[in-house]
Formats: sequence, structure tokens, C-alpha cells
Amino acid sequence: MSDMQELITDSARRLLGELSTREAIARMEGGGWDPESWSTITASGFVDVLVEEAGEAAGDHWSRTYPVLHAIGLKSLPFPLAEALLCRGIAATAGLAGADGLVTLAVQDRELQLELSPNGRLTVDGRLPEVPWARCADHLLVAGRVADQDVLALVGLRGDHVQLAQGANIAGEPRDDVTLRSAKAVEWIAGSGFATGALLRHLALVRSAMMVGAAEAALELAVRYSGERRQFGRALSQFQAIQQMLAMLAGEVTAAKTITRAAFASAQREPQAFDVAVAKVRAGRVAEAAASIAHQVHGAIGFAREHPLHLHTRRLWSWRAEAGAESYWAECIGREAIARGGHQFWADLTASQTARA
Amino acid sequence: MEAFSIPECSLDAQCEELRMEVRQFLAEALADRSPAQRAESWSGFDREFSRALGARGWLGMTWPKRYGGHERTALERYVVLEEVLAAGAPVAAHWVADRQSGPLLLSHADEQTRQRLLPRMARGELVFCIGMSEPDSGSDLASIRTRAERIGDAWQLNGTKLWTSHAGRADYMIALARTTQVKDAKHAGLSQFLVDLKTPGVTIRPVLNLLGEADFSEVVFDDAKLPADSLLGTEGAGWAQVTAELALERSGPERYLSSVQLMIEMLGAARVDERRDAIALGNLVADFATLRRMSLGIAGMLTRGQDAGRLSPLVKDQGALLEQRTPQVAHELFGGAMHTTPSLDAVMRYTVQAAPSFSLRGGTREILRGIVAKELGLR
Repeated sequence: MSDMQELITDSARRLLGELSTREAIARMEGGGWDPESWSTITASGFVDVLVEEAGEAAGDHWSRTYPVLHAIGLKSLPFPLAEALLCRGIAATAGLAGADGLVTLAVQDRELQLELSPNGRLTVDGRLPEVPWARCADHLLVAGRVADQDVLALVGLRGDHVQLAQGANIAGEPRDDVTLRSAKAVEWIAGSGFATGALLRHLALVRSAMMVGAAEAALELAVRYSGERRQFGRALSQFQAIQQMLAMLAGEVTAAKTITRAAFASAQREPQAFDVAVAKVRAGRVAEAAASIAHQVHGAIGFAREHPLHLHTRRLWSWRAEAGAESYWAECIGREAIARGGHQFWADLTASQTARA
Repeated sequence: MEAFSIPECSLDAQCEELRMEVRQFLAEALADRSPAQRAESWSGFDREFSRALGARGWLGMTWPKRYGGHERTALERYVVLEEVLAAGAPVAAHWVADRQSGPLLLSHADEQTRQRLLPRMARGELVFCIGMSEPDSGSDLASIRTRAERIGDAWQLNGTKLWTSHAGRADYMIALARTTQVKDAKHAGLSQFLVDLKTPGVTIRPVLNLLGEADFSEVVFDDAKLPADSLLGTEGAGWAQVTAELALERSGPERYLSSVQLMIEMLGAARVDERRDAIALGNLVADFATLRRMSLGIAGMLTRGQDAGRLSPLVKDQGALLEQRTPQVAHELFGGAMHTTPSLDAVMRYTVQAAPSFSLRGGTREILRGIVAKELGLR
């Protein structure tokens, strides 16, 4: 890890940890919103971490974003920092003029219906399910096509053209269904190279890093608890069965972490499609091991609402399904690999990252 | 758990150039090798092939030139290893010598022995085997009973080694033996010896494995006399030496690539429009990509002289899970021979039978996880 990354890791964990109190998380799950804490976050500069700086090496903005996203997962931050920083980063890279306030994004793998009127007015129609934090956001980032061109657009989330049905994921994080009816884009850009699939890929990578953080938190809790809890006259950590399970979990977490960090390291202007798919598969799969092993080690106390373990496991179950579950990304990888054929497998696997793009 | 962070490692242009060179060589050298033969992975034995690799300078790559080595980087060596494994080359005749016996001799043999053996090992001329397991000592390695007694200037060896891969075809063994019995300290009093397998008093009997191959052996020492310089390193320091040797044994790409030929065959036989195939194989591709990143990260640590002994057991465990999941997926997708091709079928039959050994050799899954648990602070 570079000094820069270490610095970001430390400061992100400190600040986000302070804001992720049990009370703040409970307030979020109850549908509350704390504007004061959110201003603290926006003032911290983390929302701009994914904005490319002039003169820096290609992809540096991705490397420095990983520790922030990881900290969001590690601390169960009850605020939409991941979505906000992602939208700012994408807008900056795409050359889309920014919008005030909180921006969230809608991802899907189907094309969104966009219409461009002769006077240059772009309108958006469609039903967008499970948009993260839509109720708190001012603008929505969407991707679609107009006249054979990829279009990235910002749509206002307040007004008559927007219908919002509040919902939540398993972890109680806001996921609202948004219906747009001839919603006028406040800003848009065509031909920036960001297609529908690009938004999905970006969010998949973001969720992968968050899952690694959440899984590490679950592992840490389980390791600590196994040393504290005594049964049959000795600590749980003294039992081989417990040691073997936790070692297994450490293996799964390390695998997910290694490949997710690799996807951030190989990202240039955008992350590499293959690397994102692999990261989301392995990070998603860690949810199974983390939840089953960490809960097994904790016994009944970990199943109690008062214990913090569920903050991490419920997030893992939520995030593994968002932005494409493991099966979605595995199918993408598999189709490509089968089409390429067995004789290409090793050459493709070892192809240098930039050549793959 | 910051204890488990495998640093990123990327390969430079020199490594990638070398990769192309190796790949081209292998395409020609292995043109006649069938998929089923390739599936033998690093169990395939061919002295001639090993000598050909040696002639190219691809054995003993990191060793000093004065011992026949080539003073190349650990990452360049890594590239050669992963290429020969992915191609299914028969590497067993040099694998142990190149991976662990050579480095062990470099660290612990006397100058004369190094001069005598290392250049021949780097040429692919000498086959080494690993003298660790015994009939009553597998995972509990420190409980070995093979004894070495000092008789005047020389040593006398008595005992039995078991499950010794390729002993029947090997020239030398590096054997772990007890030199002194230290009460309540089973890790003390062990020493390592270089054993010329032609020594009188050494009897080698092949043991068939479940595939019907005579790959491993029982090696009996009956008053076998070894010269004074056969003691490697320090008398009584065998446990530390063998632990370092095991770290080398556990850290390489062979620990996740044993089933790669089956993966290649499956990708050839699968149908692109079959969703079930795509998901199952896509999951495996993701695992291969993940394990390669982890394995490369370990190689990067070794290159920088960092201790990878804490992390390599974890990577080996993950690697064996992939190696063993692959034949299971093959069965789920292609079992019953309705959609299979002859080469897929042959590779599948081989790999499913070889798979149990993947989480035994080089340290069982339980031993590896025990090491990981120690790193977690659990024991």
C-alpha cells in the first residue's frame, strides 16, 4: 500500500467510524436522515476522491477510492457516500457538468428510453427499481441511448415528473423505486463512452469493495468473540473445529480482497470489465462464508439484534444481490470464455491488463 | 484483519517477453502430448523434457551462475512455472530439485556438494525426492522415527519413508531424520541428510496409487552408510530447515493449476448458449483469475525477499479448493458421457481420481488451516 493510500485508509476509517454509531444506523433504518452528518461527509473531501486530478497517473483515482469504499463497508456507514462519490467520479470522467446536492444513480442492464426533441431537450421515461437513497437525493444519474449514441444524463428527483415508492434492502438501506415520466434532463452528454453497462460495472466494483470491508468486519468480530467466549472450560478459539472454520473464512475473505483490489489497481479511466466481473463474483461469494461461519462462531448472541454482527451480514446479503449477483457476472464471464474456447483460456487469463481493455 | 493482505504484483515487459518465448518452445516440444497426458500436470515425468528446459536456462533460474544458475528474478521463474503447468508439460523429473532441493543445498550444503550437484540440477539431469512422510508420521512430521547415527566420520541411516513421490526414478533424496532424542521437545534433534539413492542399504518399493500409477514409493534404510558431508546444515536444526523447505513447497502456482487441463477441455466442449454451462464455468474462470492474482502476489513477495510463509498456506488451501471443485463441476455439466468429447472424458477421468491428493500433498488442508488459525491469533 502506498503512503497516500494508507493516509486515506486511516482518515476514512476514523471519520466514517465516528459517523457510523449504532444510533445513526438505527435512525437510517427507521427512515431518518441526518443532514448535519451528511454535511460533515461532504465537507471531508471523500466525495471527490474518484474525480481525476490533472497530471496524475491513469487510474490513480481508482486506487485511492478503494480504501474509502472499504471503510464504508467496514464501518456500515449509514449514508450514501459510495453513491455520491461514484456519481461525481463518473460525471467528471465523462465530462458531464456536475449538479448541486446529492446525486445517486440507477443501474440496469436494459436500455432506458430517452427522447431528444428537435430543440435539444432530452427527456427520460421509465421505471427504475431499487435506486439507492433516491428519497434523499436531488439528482439521478442515468445512462441510455439516443440515435445510436450513448447518453449520460442527470435528472432532477424533485417534481411532478418523478414518482417515488420507498423501499429498503435487507440491511434497511433506502432502495426506492423511481418512475420517471418525461423527466427533463438538467444536464446530459452524448458519446462519452458511458453506456448502460458501464454504470452497472462501476456500481458492481463499488459494492465489491464495500463487501470486502463488511466481510473483514465480520471476520474480526468472530475472531475476537472466539477468544472471549468460554465453553467447556476453554475459549472457543481453542477448539480445532472453530479454528478450522475461521481459517476457511480468512481464506475466502483474503481471496475476495486480493481480486477486488486488483480490479481497482488495473482500472484506467474506467475499471476493466473482466476484472470487475471477477471481483463481484468473489466478493459476492464471500457473503455465504462470512455469514455462515461468523454467525456459527457467535452462536445465539450473534443472532440478537443488539449484537453488531448483523450490521455486516445483512449488508453482505444485500450488496451481493445489487449491481448483478454472482450468477449474472459469472454468466458474462462464462459466455465470453466459452466463445473464446479452451485453447484461448490461458492466454486470456495471463493477458496484460491494459491489453484486455 | 490486515494480517491477510497479499500485495499487488505486476509483471514487467521482460517477463512477458520471456512468457512468449516459453510458450513458443512448449507449443513445439509438447505438440504430440495428448490432453490426457497433459492432465497429469506436474506428475508427468520425462527426463528428456527436463533436460531440454535446462538447456534453455529455465531451471535453477534464480541460482548464482557459479552453481550453474542463471541469476534471473523470482518473477521470471514464476512465468516459466505457470507456463509449463498451463501447457501440461511433464515436469516431475526436475520439479522438486528446482523448487526446493536446489535452494536447500544452496543454503545448507558444503561448497563441494554445491559445486558437484547444483550445475547438474540446473541442467535437468538430477531427480530429487522429498524424504519427509513415514508410515506413522504424516501431518505430525516431527514424530518421524528414521534415525541417523554418527559412526566415526560418517552417518548410518535406519528407518522407513513412505509416500515418497518419484523415489523409484530419483537420484537423490533429502531426508529428515532424528539425530538425537530430546525429552519433551520433539522439534529438536532433527537433521536433514542428502541421500544418494544408490547407497547400499537403501531399498525402494513402488506403491501403486488409486490411479494405478507407481508414482510414489516406500523407501527403507537398513544401516545405510552416508558420508560426513551428507549432513545438510546444522545438526539438530532440521525442523527450522524443513519448515523453510515446506514454505517453498507450498508457495508455487502448481498449487492451483492441477486441474487446468480439465478447465480447458470443458471450455472447448461447453455450449455458449447454455446458461447453466456459462454460469458454472464463469465461476471457475473467476476462481482461476483470483488464484492467479494471489499466487502472483506471493511470487512478488518472494522476489522482494519478504516472508510468504504466513500467507502461502492460505493460498494453497484456496488453490486446492479450486482444483477439487473443477472435477465436480465437470461431472455436473458433462457427467454421464452424453455431451462429452473423448478428450474431455479422458481428462475428467484422470482429474477426478487425482483430486483427493490435491489437499493432502505438501501439507493437508487441516494443517494449512491450522497455520492460518495461528496467524489469526487463535492458537
